[in-house]
Amino acid sequence: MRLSKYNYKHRLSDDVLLIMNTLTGAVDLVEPKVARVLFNRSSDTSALNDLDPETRTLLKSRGYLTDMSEEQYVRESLETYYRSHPALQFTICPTYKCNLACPYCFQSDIHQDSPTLDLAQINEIFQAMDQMVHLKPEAAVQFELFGGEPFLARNQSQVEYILQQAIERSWPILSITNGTELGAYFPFLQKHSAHFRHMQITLDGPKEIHDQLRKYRNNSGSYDLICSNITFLLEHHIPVTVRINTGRENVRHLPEMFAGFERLQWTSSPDFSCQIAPINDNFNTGKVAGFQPESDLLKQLHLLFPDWEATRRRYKVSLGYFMEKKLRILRKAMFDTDDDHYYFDLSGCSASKRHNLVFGADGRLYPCVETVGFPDYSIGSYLQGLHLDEEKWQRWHRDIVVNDKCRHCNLAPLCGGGCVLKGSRDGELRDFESNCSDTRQYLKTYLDLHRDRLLESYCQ
Amino acid sequence: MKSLTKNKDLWTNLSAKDLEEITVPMACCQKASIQINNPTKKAI
Ligand code: SF4
Ligand code: SF4
Repeated sequence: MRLSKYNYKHRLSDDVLLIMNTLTGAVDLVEPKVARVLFNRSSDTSALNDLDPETRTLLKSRGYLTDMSEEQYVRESLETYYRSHPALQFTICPTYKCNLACPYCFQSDIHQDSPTLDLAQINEIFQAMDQMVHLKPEAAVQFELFGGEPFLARNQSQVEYILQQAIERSWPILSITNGTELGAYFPFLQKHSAHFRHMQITLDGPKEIHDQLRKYRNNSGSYDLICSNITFLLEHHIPVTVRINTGRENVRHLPEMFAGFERLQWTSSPDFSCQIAPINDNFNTGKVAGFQPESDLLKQLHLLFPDWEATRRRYKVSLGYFMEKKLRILRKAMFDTDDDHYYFDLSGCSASKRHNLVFGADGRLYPCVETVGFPDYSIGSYLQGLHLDEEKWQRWHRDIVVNDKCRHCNLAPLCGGGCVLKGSRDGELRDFESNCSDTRQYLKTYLDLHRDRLLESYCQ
Repeated sequence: MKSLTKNKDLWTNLSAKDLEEITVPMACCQKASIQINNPTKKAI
């Protein structure tokens, strides 16, 4: 019997520690004696004899002590997952142009001179997609529009042509849009609403704040227009996630924003949800205005909303993908959250699974939406036939088995290996080191915030 | 020792078949996470 390599501990008081096994999903409160045995630095297991047989059996049933080859289990689970979840996620950027000029936008340098796809190019894209589907007929296909801003009024004929092509292939449609010029598309959206799986639209604060951040080039704001467009989508049963990009400055406005969503009656729509996502610095520039580590955001949220779980339910809020993923075991343990939030998934982000293919407005193929327009990251081209650099694409296949650092990390099953882009030093991805963000501090902060609750449950 | 998650919910107790059928959110830092991997598959 060995100690699991996925054991994690957090001290709650002198007498109580929380232990978690990130591979099995076990969470337990124990006295220091038990933790000492589990976390002694040597791999010597003779200390186990200090525990009574009942505790030893329990620790084994929870996975803290194990006989299985954990590496093999992880590898096999990932293989099963990849094999049984064949997918193709196609994204088209009709242009990189955008009608807004948000200060934190990672695409700010590529907006102005961007080309816009014409019908012949769009046909080439769909030929390339059909070719890929032909090679992977069992894949679930999903179609997405991204940009720049995909729903610019001036690109209506091309964009509706693109959407029509996706609809003819019965591909569910998703889009990330700033929502400002959707009005031009209302008749189309109304007619084809059933094909739209999801629209993600960003609001960055109540009106005054949002209008300072998400503004037109002449400095006027976009809030009122976006809100009325969201209301239209919800009335036509097109699911909308309002994304709130948070930085140090705007988190404090969340209560006012949520109240506004309720006033607009969005929160009573089954098609509404809202996501809080800290603005990120995936290119590791150190220069993103207002950047805030995830742990700081967590602290601020709990300060603003002492009953954060109730707030989540009331306003249908969730956190950004990685933030949710890392808390899924602890939330299940503390709040017995519903099954949707407690999923077994050892894999990484969508770009790491090599089923993401982004068709840029510049004729190039990209592995991840954040890299579009940056030719160094391109993995091929689609004009005059599909040219996919398989070897370069393969380098994006990053998971907790492939990444050296993650193979030795006790948090790996929770984390999945982080953002591939963040871990890469250049577009070639030859020099890669997993980027942990502030995962450890984030978990510690979450547990510190819930210390009293956990200690109370220990005493009950 | 007090257990906060039940043994029946432990992931390592999932069968190979369960693993094949799970749906997980597919997303990244840019996108809201949506259960989209395969509409015919279920969450566990
Ligand atoms: S990215 Fe960092 S925290 Fe995440 S699994 Fe890898 S080593 Fe662990
Ligand atoms: S590599 Fe990073 S930015 Fe790209 S899809 Fe993955 S998490 Fe998102």
